[in-house]
Amino acid sequence: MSSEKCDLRFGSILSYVPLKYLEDDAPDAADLPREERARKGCAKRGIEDRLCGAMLDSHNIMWHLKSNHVVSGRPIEEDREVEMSELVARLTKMVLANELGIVSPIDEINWGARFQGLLGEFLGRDAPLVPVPPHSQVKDYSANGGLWVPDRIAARMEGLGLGRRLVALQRERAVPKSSTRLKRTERRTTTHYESLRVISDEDLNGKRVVLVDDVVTTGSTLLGSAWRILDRYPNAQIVGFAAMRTISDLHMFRGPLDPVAGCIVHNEDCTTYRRP
Amino acid sequence: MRKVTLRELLGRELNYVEHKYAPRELYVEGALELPLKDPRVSVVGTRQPSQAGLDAARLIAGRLAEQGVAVVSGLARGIDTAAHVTAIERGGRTIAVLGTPLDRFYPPENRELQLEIMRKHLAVSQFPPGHITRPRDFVMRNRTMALISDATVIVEAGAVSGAISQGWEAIRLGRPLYIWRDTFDNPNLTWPRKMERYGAMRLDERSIDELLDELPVSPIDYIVKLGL
Repeated sequence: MSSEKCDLRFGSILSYVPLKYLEDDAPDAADLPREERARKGCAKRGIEDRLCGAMLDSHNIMWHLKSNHVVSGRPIEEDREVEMSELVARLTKMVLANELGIVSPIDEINWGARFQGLLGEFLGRDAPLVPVPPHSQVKDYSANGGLWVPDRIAARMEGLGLGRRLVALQRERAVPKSSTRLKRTERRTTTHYESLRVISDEDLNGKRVVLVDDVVTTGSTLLGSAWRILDRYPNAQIVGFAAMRTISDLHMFRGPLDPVAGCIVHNEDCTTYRRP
Repeated sequence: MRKVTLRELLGRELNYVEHKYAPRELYVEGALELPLKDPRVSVVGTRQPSQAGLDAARLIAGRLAEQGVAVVSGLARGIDTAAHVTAIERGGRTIAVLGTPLDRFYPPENRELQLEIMRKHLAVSQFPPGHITRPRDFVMRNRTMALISDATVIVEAGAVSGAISQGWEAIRLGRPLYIWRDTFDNPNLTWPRKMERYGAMRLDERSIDELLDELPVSPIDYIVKLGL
């Protein structure tokens, strides 16, 4: 990996498979309820029931995360109910402290150890945690009390001593939601870069900055955000943290909890790709 | 009729943004098992719809119902009624969130529909029996409807409508908000443009399935299963 191009290093602890990647696309399946269509799609792809069930669970965890639902985090958190953002912060801390058994690698690379290596280097009591703005415009979330999941995750991470929340980026105008609405070629890093603005006065030059997001798909949002910060503070060291990542290659799915560290790579046409 | 908390209705506690306008208790009557197990989508709009608006409400509610999504609406005349009736006709489930107490029938012509929903589906009101209805109750009802729905669709609405309050509340809660194409594209309305800047999405015949992609698979629970 080190010899290949890497424009932004990132880590994430959870993974999910979008339902639409599982569905049976045969015309006669179109009217089936979605769960059935997904189960049939799994069967056609030779995905065993248990794995298929975990993929459907992962889709629902993504939904919990997007709405910051109060969930029961068993078996991690016993019967305590916490907001999804807090569960993410707790899991991150536990992964860094090696308190969770990390899934054994199916390939040569131990992605979980890489997560510990990368985020362990960046997270710490004084690390600026910069929440990534949502795709739509935001008036003032603190005033109108609206949901901003990355900000909530950053606040929870701060509460656990993993850094300090720093609202340093703001969205100037809405951009289309990347995960569901756009084709890959339409997700341009430049779209994000141009719609974001730095609103913090803190000098980030020379500091290790963690961009905090809820879901990473291609990585164009994280990379656009990193560029925007580097524009103002060229000597900031930036890493991305996304609670969850989208899995497009079904063979890469190893369960919802699967910490990895990897790279977001910028292409010449301003699209991005992510590995893993 | 019985009194339940939102916890009993949804199967979970509320997060920090949901608390703001959440009623402490709700009155419910109906046959749906609590906590609710199916994904829920609000289909709401004007009491004076166009024929195209009614057709759209039926198309959306029908597709949701056949996909196992409970259709939530406010039992008002027009779009709401079309949404409830279509969901029932397609063999789906429907939830009516009333701006009046459950012992009242408003509008009077929906009495039979309300009774059927109270028998076979679910009627919900945050107002106790005997409560005297005030105009603002309907805005409170729309916020509650946004809260118990996983997504909201505004089918058709003019410049002033309870559906618009519901749309803003859905945005505040971070839930997907869709506006049907005719209303979204209507140059005489300013609110769809504003809502788009805050994340509202345009819904048409093709994108109904994208809405479905944003919903959970049932049965819904709030226990996060992290392993394989």
